[in-house]
Amino acid sequence: MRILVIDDEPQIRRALKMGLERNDYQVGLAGSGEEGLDKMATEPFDLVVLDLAMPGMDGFDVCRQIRSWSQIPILVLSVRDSEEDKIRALDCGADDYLTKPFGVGELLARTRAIIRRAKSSEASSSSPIFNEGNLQVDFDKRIVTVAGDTVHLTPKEYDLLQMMINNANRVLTHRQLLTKVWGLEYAEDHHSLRVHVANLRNKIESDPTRPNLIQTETRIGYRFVSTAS
Amino acid sequence: MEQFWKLCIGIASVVLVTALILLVRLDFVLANVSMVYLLVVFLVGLYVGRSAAIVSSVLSFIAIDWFFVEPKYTLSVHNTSEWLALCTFLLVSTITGHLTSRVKSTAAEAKQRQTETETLAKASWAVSSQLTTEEALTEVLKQLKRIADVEAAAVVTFDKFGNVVLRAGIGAEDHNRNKHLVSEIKKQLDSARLDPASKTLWTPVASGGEQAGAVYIKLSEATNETPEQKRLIDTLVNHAVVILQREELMKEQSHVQALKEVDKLKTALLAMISHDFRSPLTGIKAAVSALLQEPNYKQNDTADARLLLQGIEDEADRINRMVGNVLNLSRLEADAWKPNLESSSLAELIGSALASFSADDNRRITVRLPRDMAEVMVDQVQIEQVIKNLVDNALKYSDKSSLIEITVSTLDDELMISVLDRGIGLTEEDLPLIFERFYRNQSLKESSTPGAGIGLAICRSLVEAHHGQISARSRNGGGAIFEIRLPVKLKQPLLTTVDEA
Repeated sequence: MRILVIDDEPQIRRALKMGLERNDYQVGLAGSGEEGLDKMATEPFDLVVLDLAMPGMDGFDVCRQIRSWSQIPILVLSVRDSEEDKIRALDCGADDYLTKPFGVGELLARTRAIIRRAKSSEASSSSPIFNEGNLQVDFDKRIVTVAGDTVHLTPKEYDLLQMMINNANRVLTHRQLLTKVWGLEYAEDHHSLRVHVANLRNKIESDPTRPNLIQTETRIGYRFVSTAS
Repeated sequence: MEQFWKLCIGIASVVLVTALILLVRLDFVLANVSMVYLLVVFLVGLYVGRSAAIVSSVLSFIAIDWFFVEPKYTLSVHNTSEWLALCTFLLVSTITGHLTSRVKSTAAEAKQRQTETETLAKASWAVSSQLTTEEALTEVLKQLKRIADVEAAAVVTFDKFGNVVLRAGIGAEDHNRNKHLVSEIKKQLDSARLDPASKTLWTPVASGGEQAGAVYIKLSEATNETPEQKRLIDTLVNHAVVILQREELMKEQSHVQALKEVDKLKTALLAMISHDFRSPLTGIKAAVSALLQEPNYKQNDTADARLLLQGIEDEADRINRMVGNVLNLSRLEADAWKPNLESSSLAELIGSALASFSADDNRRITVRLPRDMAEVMVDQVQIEQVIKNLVDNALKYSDKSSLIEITVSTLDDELMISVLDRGIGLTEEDLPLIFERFYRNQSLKESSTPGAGIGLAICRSLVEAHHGQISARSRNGGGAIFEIRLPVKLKQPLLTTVDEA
């Protein structure tokens, strides 16, 4: 498993390299966006860890460039209080974000989740049944059960749930969910999305006031949390 | 006295002319004689004054009748036409005298007006131009000297010790006179009252309720000012007052400006520190957490080193929290919160806030929300922060087994969020101060419960940025209640949707 770290701070590059290598990842380093893109063109990688705030070509540009020719998972690093940046990065095609400062443990957890997702999406056709706690979704039959009882979902709720499960443990922005499930013209209809998510939670969460499955990422979007591999 | 001499000049000129005419025998044509007298009246009117001109015209009339009209040396007139000529002369000469003197006084008045206008224009220019206070005041005093007989004049201000500072003065050209002037002014200041007989004018200048300075004028004893002069002096004094007040205002303004600048700098500095601290922190945290990574760690390091590394990581986290607090504090100071109002689901915000607490903590928390609550316009991040801070406080100051309740209710255009606990509660002295920065209950300061007294202050400024109110009170049966009231326009209700299939 090869990971490319693109960050302008040498200290952070060095620390991440060491932390990741101790966990048997192979690590490539780049000190700028341009260098990162060069590395990607010449070496194969499975994941990119990308700092958003860099002099010269910033993380957003790098993210867009990569997305123009590759579906490689991208994890962006950003500072606190910058939801706008996070939304922008996710809409640019980043898979997830980490807020600085972070521990290598958090980075590894996110990395594993992203890689697991990448693998399962390659093999998604082979497992038509999804299990997470009390929740079971049979994608072939479009049947959702909670603790054995069948739950009736509206088509939109079902589409929403399916998209979230397919992107489990990944933040999906309001925009991404709205454009995929409803269509481009509904991209800004956050209200509808909230209504549907609330209804979905009422149907599948054990305590809808404290959701475990569909977590809110305030101002950014939602994350479906899954421990299933 | 002056008037008397003017009349004498009028009489004397007629006498002189009569003597001259008799001497050079010009009396053969009466018309010529009349012309000469007319000329005299005209000249007297022009140079001496109206009354002198009238006296000389009457006198000329008598002189012509006496010396040159037949029968001579009597005041009687034989010929009717001569009588008519004489009367005409009297009329014409009187009118001439009157008119010439009026022309003269009009001219004098015009000149006076011109001086006045010039004086005022110069004084106004001194006020409005970019001159220094001293230059402007000197210009005004110079104008004052031009229009009135000023013995001494000065504009003074008082420094912060109450000392007299001479800003501009007339009659203070050398050191000794300067000293004399200042001592005069001090005397004036001490007596605090003007002698009505003395010709001294004292005009205090107030600024911000305090006496900032004064204009002092001493007119010469010998002269009497005309009403116009008095008016002009008043106007010039007012100009000087305006100049001083302008200076005071500018001082105040620059003080306010300086405060603003300092505030801006402080905020920028704090924001910069908080931001720039995060980069090395990220480095430290990443490095330490990398070292701590299982499983390779155990192979080449001792348990002691592991403890030390854990210490470094914990401390880095602590500095990071402090940096967060400093950042919030810098915003608190600068009123920098600008809520980004968005239609929001309160249920979702509370759920998200509670997600940051552990499962154990969450078991103690109950949430009561109205059914089908409408969406509200709030800044999601900020209101979530407020709820988090309040719940964090409730958890921190209450027993591990006690319950914490969050209730939400809506009135017409107001949203109320309450957080209720069964904790240590609030004392009387807490209540007015609890939302102040750095406030901590005395007994808590000595306890081991961590806190810096920032959380509630942040809550208050966030709620106030939403034009809302936050309050705290003791709860019946022990514990505390924190209430947030937000004025909100309720959006479309969050109804269960009809299936759109």
